[in-house]
Amino acid sequence: MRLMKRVLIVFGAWTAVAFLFAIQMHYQVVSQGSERSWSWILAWQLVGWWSWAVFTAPVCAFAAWAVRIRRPVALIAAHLPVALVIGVSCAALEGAVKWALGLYRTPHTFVTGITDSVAMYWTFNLLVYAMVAGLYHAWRAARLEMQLMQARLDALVGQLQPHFLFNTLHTISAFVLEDPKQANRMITRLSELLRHSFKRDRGPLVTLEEELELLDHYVAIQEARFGDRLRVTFRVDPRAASAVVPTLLLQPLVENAIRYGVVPNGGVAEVEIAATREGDRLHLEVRDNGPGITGDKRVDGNGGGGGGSGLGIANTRARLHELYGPGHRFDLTNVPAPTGGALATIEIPYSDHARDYR
Amino acid sequence: MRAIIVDDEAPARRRLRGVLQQINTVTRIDECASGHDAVELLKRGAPDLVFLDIQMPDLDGFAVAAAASDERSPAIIFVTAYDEHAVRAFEIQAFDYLLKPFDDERVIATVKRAEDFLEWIRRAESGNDAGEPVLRRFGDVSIDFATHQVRRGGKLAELRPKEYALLVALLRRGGRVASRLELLREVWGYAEDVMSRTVDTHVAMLRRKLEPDPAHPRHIVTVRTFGYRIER
Repeated sequence: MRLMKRVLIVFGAWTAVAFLFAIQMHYQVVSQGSERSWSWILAWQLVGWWSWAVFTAPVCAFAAWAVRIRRPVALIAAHLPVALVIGVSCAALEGAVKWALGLYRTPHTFVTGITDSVAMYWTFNLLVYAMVAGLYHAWRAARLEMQLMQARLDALVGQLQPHFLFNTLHTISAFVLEDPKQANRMITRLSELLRHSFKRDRGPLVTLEEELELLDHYVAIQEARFGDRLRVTFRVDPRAASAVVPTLLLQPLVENAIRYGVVPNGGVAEVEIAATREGDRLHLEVRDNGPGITGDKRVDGNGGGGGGSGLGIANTRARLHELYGPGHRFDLTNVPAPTGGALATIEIPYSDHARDYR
Repeated sequence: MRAIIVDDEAPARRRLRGVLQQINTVTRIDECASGHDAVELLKRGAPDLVFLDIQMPDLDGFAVAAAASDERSPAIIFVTAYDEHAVRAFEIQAFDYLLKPFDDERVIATVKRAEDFLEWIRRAESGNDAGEPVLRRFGDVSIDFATHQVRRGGKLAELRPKEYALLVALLRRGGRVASRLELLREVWGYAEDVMSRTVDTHVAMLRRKLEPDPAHPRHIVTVRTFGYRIER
């Protein structure tokens, strides 16, 4: 079925070319003062270009093989003899078919029909060969770039940090002995997060509602780890709940807020997660009451401890850029005293259909 | 022995405390929730064992380790969720590296080895040894550094020069782990991080000559993915 589709596409494309050249030929013939019927012109052009349709597959096959040649000069050198052979063969086929259909206006034998056609078209055919091979290369490059983008996007779709996973398992192992019920709750929460991580069909986008549900599991685990020293609140505009957002968009921000907000012996770290909708814009905020952003450590460095949360922020930034381009805003700022703390703000276009960005 | 647990998570500290309480040679356990507190405690407390989390919000474990006293240095055991820092930890002469989550037996074995190590190093330091302390025997193997002779069960073992140098490099650590890279640099003088099986092949030779059962080494022990250490 795929082969049939390809054959149709190739013949369709060359038919279109034949029509364009037929128009050109018509006016050329008229300007020379002679007369040809449209049907003859069309037949003449179709025979020529459909010959190319026959030779398109071998040209692409050779171009596909030739991509392994890295040096441009060597690549052209490899294409040249093939271009000559194909150019001449294509012209010969064209001449033979024109003779067989009786399209020649002057008397020709089978052999002179071919030789004439070859003599007339082999140079022009070199150009056509170059165009076909060039298009093949361009198509291949475009496809590669698309795949690369998809792969990058897939890789960027947030993943659980191994640190988090192992720290959580460790916390669970502490609770197993002292508070089995709490251990059980944590295993359930962690399982939910893992289930999401392992989901094969998850796209780069989810609804805010799903995202917040995941975040709730994540936060519950962190609250168990840090106990009374951490308090997380959610403030979500119900009109924003069905908005489409990148998967695990907020998680790295919340992770960061918790990481830098939980200051030792410094009282309770408060993290607030807010989502509001204003017209066609979605506003997301993650705020903490920690010491704020100092230096560039928090934004893209891993700090001394090699955390990985810095990576999370870079990842968030990259994904927003990939998905929304200039249509988004992402800021990390310090809230001035007396409140203090750090504030992450994200603004993206509001949309409630995942397919808009797929 | 006095132990300090440094971790910013209370459940993680309780988990380790629970294990250490089972070991009767550990007489005192202090806890710190932050790197700064740990540095303070290290200065005041002169602990024997320091269990250090690497990822902490204020000062990371490496910074805390750097603040430990040189005179009466404790055995530093890094406790972390992920092994990406292991090579660096061993390069700053960490005694061991525990990966979270761990089982009790692993911790108890580490503490026992650390106890041996501390006893040996304290004795060597108080003795009149010139230069740095070097372990002189393990199992039924003894080493005479003056004559470069190695004996196993009283019988002379024929070591080639590189094998001897490798053995000395391991003995100098008295039970601490030596990474492959450190050994390559020390024994072979490689300046670059070259991929090399050299260390492994020489370790295999040493085991054949010095271990009772080279297939199941008890004294020249592999620390998975990092390097080797001597166990007595």
